[in-house]
Amino acid sequence: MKEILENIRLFFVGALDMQGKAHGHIENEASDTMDQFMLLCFGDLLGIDLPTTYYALELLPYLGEDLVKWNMRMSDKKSIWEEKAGKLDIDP
Amino acid sequence: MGKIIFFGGKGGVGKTSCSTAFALSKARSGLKTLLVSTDPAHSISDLFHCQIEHKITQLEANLFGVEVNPERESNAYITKIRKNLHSIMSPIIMEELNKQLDAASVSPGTHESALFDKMIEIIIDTSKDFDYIVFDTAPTGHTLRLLSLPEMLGAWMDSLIAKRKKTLTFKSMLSKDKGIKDPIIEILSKRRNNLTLARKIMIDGENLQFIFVLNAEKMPIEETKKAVKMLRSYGIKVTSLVVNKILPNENSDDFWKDKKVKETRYLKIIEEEIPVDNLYQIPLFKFDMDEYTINEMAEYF
Amino acid sequence: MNSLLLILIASVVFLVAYVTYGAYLAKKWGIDPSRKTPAHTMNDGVDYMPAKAPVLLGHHFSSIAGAGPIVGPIGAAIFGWVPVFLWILIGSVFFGGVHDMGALFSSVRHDGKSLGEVIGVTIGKNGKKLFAIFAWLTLLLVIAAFTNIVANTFVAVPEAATASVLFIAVAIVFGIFVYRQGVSLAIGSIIGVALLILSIYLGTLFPLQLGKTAWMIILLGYIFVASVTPVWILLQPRDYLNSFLLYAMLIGGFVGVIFMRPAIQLAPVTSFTVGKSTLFPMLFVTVACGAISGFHSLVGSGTTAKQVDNEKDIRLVGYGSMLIEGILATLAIITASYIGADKFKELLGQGGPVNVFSSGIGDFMTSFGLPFATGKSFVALAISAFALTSLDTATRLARFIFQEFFDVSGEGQPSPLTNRYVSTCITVVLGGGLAFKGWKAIWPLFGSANQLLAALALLALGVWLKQSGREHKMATIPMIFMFAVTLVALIQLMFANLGNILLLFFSVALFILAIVLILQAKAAFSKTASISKK
Repeated sequence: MKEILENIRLFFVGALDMQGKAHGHIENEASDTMDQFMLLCFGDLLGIDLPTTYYALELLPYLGEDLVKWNMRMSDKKSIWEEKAGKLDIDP
Repeated sequence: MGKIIFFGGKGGVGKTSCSTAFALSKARSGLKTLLVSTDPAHSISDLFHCQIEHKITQLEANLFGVEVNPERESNAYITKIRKNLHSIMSPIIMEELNKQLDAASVSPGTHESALFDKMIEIIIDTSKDFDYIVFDTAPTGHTLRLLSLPEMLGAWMDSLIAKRKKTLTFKSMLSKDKGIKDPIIEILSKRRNNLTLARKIMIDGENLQFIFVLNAEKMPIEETKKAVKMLRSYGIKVTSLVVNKILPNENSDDFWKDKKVKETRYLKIIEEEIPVDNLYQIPLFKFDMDEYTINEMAEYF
Repeated sequence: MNSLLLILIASVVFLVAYVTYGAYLAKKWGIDPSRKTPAHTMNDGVDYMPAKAPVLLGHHFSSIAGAGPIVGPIGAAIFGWVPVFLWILIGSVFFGGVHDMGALFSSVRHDGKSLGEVIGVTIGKNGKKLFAIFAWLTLLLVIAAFTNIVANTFVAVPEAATASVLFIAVAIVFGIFVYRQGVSLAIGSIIGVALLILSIYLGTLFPLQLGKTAWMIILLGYIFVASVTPVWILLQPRDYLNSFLLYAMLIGGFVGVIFMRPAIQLAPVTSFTVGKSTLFPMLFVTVACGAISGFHSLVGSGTTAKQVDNEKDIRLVGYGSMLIEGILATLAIITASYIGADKFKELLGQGGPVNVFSSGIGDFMTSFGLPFATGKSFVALAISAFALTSLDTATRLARFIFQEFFDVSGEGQPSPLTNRYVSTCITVVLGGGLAFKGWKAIWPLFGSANQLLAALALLALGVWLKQSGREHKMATIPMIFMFAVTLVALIQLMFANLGNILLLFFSVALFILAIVLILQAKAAFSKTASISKK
């Protein structure tokens, strides 16, 4: 019984999602912008020749932890309209 | 503010000896001169019987020398980063990052960047202390473009900084922390400022000069012509040419007589097609470069 | 007959369906709780992250719920409430639920990749392009339909118009103070909600009466501006403040329905032909989102699939959320059917489905003391606010699809069509031009496009199931039905719209694309090569 109530509570946590509604779009843009910054720094990992690669190495202590996951995120960005569709909440 | 001289020219034309001789002559005429060598063969150390290292070493009254080893520089840079990372990152992450760092340390772009970096550092640190800073080599390939277009590298740094600032703006919308100093922007800005300063010293102050060394032959002339044209189109001064290894006037056999005629013709072409303030003609010396011949060569400057 | 009975019937039917048919689908498709989902294998810290099943259900449901399942059923009530109710039930159980769950499942089994990728793998590159085109056309129709609907609402309920205009100002102020100036979210919310209540009050005092055309132009201008400005100025604050309106409305509505226990007065079935529409096929393309909606697959494969913790959650999140949407659609049909046929026609004619809905809920809320005018205005505001935010996001997404489609230059230089202002302009002009044709004409087109989108998703699902040697009829039979309904509907619409270039163009375009899609389907199914997919 307790479990059912907990599940119902969790349902409303997901459905209401006040944090998401208050910050979701901004968070997405922040995340995208940060990924773009990483691209400008470490694009050589994706095969892009950049003039500032040498200097970007210096930034690894601050960004290095996310580097592997960033690489994974960047692997499929040719067409992102569907990704955006999921996040934009069209609600028709 | 000191004059910054880059010696350019293909391999084997004698950049190292010419630049050394040039530096020597300036030093002997009373001007405090720093000779910067990127020659991996350490020939300058041999010439002066001195262990010139990466610290500025006094060679003569007004002559100082320093060696720049791009591999040493980039390794030091990367090792420092590696150590730094190791102290704050889990070895699981380090495994991936080490791959990235290893790849960087053997990449040609890295050596170029390290060399460029060291040059900038020397210029910024010492240009006030010396009348002449002589580099025995010009930065190669795209670094030459970077040197002549510091705007490009600066623009890239600017775009990195702008992107980072945008991220911070978004983050500040999401939480209460505002105006926390961002180490990344600090690092990037410091680099950016260095570039701006170097640019100022080199280009705005009109202190930068190129001296091309070439031989009186067809290919070197064509290449030098192209290089000079390109540099001048970026507003960089090419003040002098050094035609090296000029054949002696008296030649016994026909083979050398023919070559001398050709050489004279080429010299004339050089004079006409690549106008410069100073055209030095350095003879081909009988003996190998040592401390005596270098003194002789210095007389020509 | 009492309308609460409808909710009871729906709940029971859906519960039984979930336990039986949902389990059947899970079994036949081979849902495997022991498999690791992409949320675990491809965890990237941002998009691919596992979420607990009930939380994911809540999130997914709130993403798919919208004005569609409200407008559709009310609009279709002209055929009587029984056909609509039956279609909501049958559609959700055998069509929409299968579609939603199937799209989610196929995405999970394809590394959480979006549906377009799945379509590319199962049907081919052309299928993928078709998907984008259908999505784009559907979005244009959404823009057209919703602009028209909101304008209608503003004309019928001018109090809500005033409140909506004030809402925009409140949202901007909220955005500046909370996001830029650092005012805490809690304080901002309290002040924001207070200002909203003030706006509603001011709305009742100063209703803004403008003509329908005037409203449409204003709305189109608003959409253009809103969709190109940074998200923190309008989109984010609106999204947040909207939720207060929405939840208040839902609570008020449900409490009101339970207190009032309204009886159904609308005719159970009116006639097969009403005006220019026939029950088949128009019932289906009008109810649209209330029974099956292609858009849900975008949400499912866009984000939800990447967050599925365990495959056994797919039934709950995919099938379950569609059933809950069915309850929402049932609530909508109640607001249309507790009033007599005359009142219904009057309200529908005056201000469209939102007018009917807001009158209904407003009426229900009088049962606990809220004055009717305030209640109605409040509900109209809530729905319009929701629709306006949908319009903003729909325009953005349409622009993204357009930008990617026209990014042909290989040189790296962007084509001028990919400029955000140009592409937004084209989107708004096309969508807006359609908007002036009236929601009655646009909505069936939107329904058709949305159903074709769903048919494409069902096709991908069916092909994939067949290729991997699994039972596929539960996907292909609904798909065939969707095709049949949509084709007939489009033929009817083509003839109905002969006098109207823009509508005719859309009808014909959709029809041709539907044929292309059917040919793709044939080709995909006759491919005998059996690629063994997991």
